[in-house]
Amino acid sequence: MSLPSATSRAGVITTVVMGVALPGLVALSCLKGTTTTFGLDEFLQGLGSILGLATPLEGYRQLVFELVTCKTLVACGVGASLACSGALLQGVFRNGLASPSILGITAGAGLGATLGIMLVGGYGSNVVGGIALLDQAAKHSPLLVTLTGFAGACGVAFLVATIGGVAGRVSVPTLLLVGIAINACIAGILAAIQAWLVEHDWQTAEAVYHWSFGSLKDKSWTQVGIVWAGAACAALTLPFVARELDLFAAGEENAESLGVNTLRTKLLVLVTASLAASAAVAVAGQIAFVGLVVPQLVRLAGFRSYRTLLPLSMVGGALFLLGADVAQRYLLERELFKPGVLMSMIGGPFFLFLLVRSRSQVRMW
Amino acid sequence: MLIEGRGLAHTYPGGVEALADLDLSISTGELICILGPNGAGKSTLLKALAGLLPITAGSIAWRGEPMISWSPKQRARRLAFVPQSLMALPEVTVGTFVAQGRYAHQGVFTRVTPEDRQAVEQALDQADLADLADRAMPDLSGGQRQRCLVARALAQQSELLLIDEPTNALDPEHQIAIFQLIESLTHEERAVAGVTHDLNLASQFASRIVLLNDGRKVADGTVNEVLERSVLEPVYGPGLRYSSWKIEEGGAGDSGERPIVLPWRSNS
Repeated sequence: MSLPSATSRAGVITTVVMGVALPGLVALSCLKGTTTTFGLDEFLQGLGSILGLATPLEGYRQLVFELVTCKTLVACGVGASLACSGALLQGVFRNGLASPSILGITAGAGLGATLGIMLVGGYGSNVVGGIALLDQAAKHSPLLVTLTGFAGACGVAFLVATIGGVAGRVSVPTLLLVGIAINACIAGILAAIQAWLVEHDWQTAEAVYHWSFGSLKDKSWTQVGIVWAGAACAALTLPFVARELDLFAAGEENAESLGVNTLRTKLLVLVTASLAASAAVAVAGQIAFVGLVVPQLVRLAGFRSYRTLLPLSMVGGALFLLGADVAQRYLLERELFKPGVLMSMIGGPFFLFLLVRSRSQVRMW
Repeated sequence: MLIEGRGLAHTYPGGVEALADLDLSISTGELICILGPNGAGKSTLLKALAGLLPITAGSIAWRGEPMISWSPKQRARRLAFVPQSLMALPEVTVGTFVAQGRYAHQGVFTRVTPEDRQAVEQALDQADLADLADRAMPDLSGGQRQRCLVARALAQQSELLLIDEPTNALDPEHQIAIFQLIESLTHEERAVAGVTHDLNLASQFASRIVLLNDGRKVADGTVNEVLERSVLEPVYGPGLRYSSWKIEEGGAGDSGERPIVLPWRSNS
């Protein structure tokens, strides 16, 4: 068997290609909104205005430009966070089929964030009798929704790790079944909440509905900040877990015998993966499969070591999600599909492909 | 004294007592073979010494210093554990796999040092793997993979190697090669403790034999003291035949005669 492993030269080439592609794609994305197109001079002026170096574009055009820019940055941050979260989970569970959506972590973040939306949508204050603290919380809604999403994601991550692992080993079928069960439970709870909201508060119901399919539209600078803070936290953690995850590949006991603090690594990975996924989900809603598809594509390109896999997954995730959205805007001239729907259409068949492929690649020593 | 375990006990969840009140000490230059029937607690003892399984009673000291507060890295710099096999086959080259043994010597942001490279090259040479450094691990035979595991442990540059059934599933030629490699380490100020089921390899190579049964130590002595009917029969039953082989050079044992113990079909 020849081992498809990327050389350091291939790593340099890939990094350069991605490094050129990402700013190019960001520029392409900023030049074209759903209905408004900007020229290169407007792009530079709009960007200058955001940085306080130029006068704003005329009338509503600066506002639209900033919305498109926010959308672009959110797409990059969400793609990077979800892909990084997926790669981390694949490493710690030693399984290429793990991802925040399949394990239910995205759904957990979704449930937490939905409860957060309800809280700031009025129900929190009403339910607990208008406590001043919650009224204050309403003013900081994106942050609160992120925090409740993070709590939900962490809860599910630790539930999966506890139920899916027996004596330090993770059974893959158990892991996937736990994910199915958690996804089903949370989908049921969310449907019940949705039904209740439709009867009681149409506005909040609509917000939850739009959010549950994932959306990159109408994002604020605060939300850009939240997503990028999650992605930055994940990126800062990578040096502390990448080599460790390489040693995890041959088993947890193997890693521990070589000197890895396995408990600390697992905790760090689960918290980071939950944080990255929940920041993404709280801002952009549930976008499935990015966390599964992107690390696998990077692996298929020959980058198997987590030292290269993790950073390349982050850049690749940004390229993937933004690329799909930009392609839709340029080719279809409108946003026909929400990003969650688009990713499911790509990710679902890819997941099946991986399952079929892994059937013939089960190797044990 | 390199390592000393006193009153070691380990009880698995569910109440199965795998080790009970076991004392074991290992000194530099020793090659200790740990023998015993299946379920005797051999692998549990090795993992307990390696810090991979918590002991439920007793204490382990390294040169007289308690090991309980050691970090996994501190432990891995002093003792290396070679498992029987790995849970999954790593899809890396032999060189990369052996270099993983240097993890405990590296910091989070430190790059590969000349010492790391030298240790890996030396380990590859010692395990006769230098020509295979660029080969993929999945391409190797069972014997080559076993040598890779030993080489990775050598790259750790630890003073003690704990090896679990190193000749499992190997042909006779490779069994001898692995034991010769292990034996050569004891000449370099290191000690080795290995679990094996092969009484005759233990007879040829061990400087000391520890015999376990039901989680307890039933014998601890030289090859000729332990590999004899009165000691082995209560543990392995009557299905063994005993003989001896005269060897010209004494080697690590205490006489020129080495016992041979063969499993033999029963007459009934």
